[in-house]
Amino acid sequence: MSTHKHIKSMADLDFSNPRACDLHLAVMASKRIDIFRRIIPITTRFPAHKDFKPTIDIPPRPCPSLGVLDRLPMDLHIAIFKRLNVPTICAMRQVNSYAKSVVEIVPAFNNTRKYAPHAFKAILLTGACGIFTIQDLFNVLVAPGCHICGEFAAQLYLPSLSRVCTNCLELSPEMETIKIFYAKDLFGLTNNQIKEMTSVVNGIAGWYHDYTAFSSVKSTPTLVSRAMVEAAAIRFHGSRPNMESFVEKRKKNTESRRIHTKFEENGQTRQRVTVQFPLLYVKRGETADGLYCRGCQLKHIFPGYRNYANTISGDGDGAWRIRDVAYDFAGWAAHIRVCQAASDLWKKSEGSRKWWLNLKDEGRNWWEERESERKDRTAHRTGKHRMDYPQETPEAFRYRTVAFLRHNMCMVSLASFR
Amino acid sequence: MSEIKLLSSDQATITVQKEVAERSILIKNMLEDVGEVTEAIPIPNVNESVLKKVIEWCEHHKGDPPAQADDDSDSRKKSTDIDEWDQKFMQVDQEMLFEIILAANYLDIKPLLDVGCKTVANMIKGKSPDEIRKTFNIQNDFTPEEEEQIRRENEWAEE
Repeated sequence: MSTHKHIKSMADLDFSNPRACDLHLAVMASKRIDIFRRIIPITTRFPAHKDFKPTIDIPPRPCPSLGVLDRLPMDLHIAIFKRLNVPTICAMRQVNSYAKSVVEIVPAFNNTRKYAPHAFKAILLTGACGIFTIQDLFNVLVAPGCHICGEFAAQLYLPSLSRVCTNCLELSPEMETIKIFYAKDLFGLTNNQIKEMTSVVNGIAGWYHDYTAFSSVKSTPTLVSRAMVEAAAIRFHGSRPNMESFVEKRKKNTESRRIHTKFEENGQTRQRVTVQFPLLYVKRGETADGLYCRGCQLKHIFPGYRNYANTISGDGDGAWRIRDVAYDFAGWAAHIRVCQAASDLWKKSEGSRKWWLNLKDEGRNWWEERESERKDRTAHRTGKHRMDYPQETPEAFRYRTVAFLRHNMCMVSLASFR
Repeated sequence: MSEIKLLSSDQATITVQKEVAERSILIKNMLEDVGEVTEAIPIPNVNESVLKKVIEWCEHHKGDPPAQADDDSDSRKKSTDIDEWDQKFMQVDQEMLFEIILAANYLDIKPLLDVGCKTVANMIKGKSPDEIRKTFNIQNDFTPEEEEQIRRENEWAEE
């Protein structure tokens, strides 16, 4: 009976009309900012979804040679460049103007830089993915679904360069991430061996969210994926039984006992090697950053600070497991049809929908009228702070804010203006 | 096992097993089109020493399973790894290496082209722009300001 009623209340959902669709998103979707803040805190002003545009214009000049590599035709240059890792292809871009222009037409480079600037920047900053090529990165960018559970996922786990969803990242034993000195001691490998055979990530300092608050993290540990080091150790020791007996011996060894009796994976090691990563639909040229159900967000409220540890390690009531599921648009549309909390929100919004749509239209008009002004401005910065517009009325401020948020593809809710 | 003859650009004739020569998609297609041939097949772009080297590779790899249709599709494979024998095979001077890559490209031997490109990529890997220029004898045509600008772009110092 209740499900029947529920379906009836959601019957006016219309996903074919873009205007209505915006409204559905505004009422029932949210972007979990704190999820993205839990992982590597990269922000970039590099405009996503715009063609990668270098900041310098190189004046026309005679085409320089690529030295010995000139023996090969350009398609082979591209074939070679796509097999370089991220730092090296950036270095290649710096070699000369011919190399620069060839690198910029390598599809893997161009697309990752264009659609996943956060991941690109994170890889450069953390020195991760030395053993993976730019083509590998692109392959993951277009591969749909978490590599463990197959659900939609919008995060990239740097050590093994794979896409993971929040739940698998927090809970899966495969995702265990340890500091390099544990790994070194436990598996009997040297630092250099680990660096050669696996992908090592230098955590970066910054502000990390832990579901309750931001905290400033100043350490920069070198982190590795335990599964990858294990695989390397198996190669090194010859076979799995050899490796396991070695590890057993190590754990009994008095010298290393002090380390291994402690919980090996402390703090936010998993999150510190993970970065937000959209999914690219190549044919449509669109990306999905992940949508979250606002109904679930509001229903499963934050655990208190005291309960935090219990929630994560003891799995507590597991509220965040329901709350922090990312969906692509189709998945989200399917979810809100069955989610009671979302349908309640939809019912509640009934009185203000019209007001919201009008506000949005006005904001858009305001933005479009000023299109030419925006183009004239030499700085690429669009006004972000209220003080950039000292003369404007509160009304204009509100329109501009809506327009700005819309322009940046954020969800706008009525609550943003109260 | 039937054998066929190949005629290199400097008019040297090399006899190889048909199975070995068919690692090259170009020759395979040619043989399919023409059927049985008795005279040597001309390979105008490749000279004798390079052709011999390529055939050496083909002989070692004749039992390999056919390569996947698209080498970009396998994402989980660690793609910078090169087989040990191939590594030794590719220990030649730069000139020869590029000739092998060109021959592989011309003869359409995808796995060999793959190995060749990986080898060159590994030569570049981990080097600074200056070192890359030195390795391949490349001249720099950026002004210092431009170079500084690109360097900062790469380090994301500004966006």
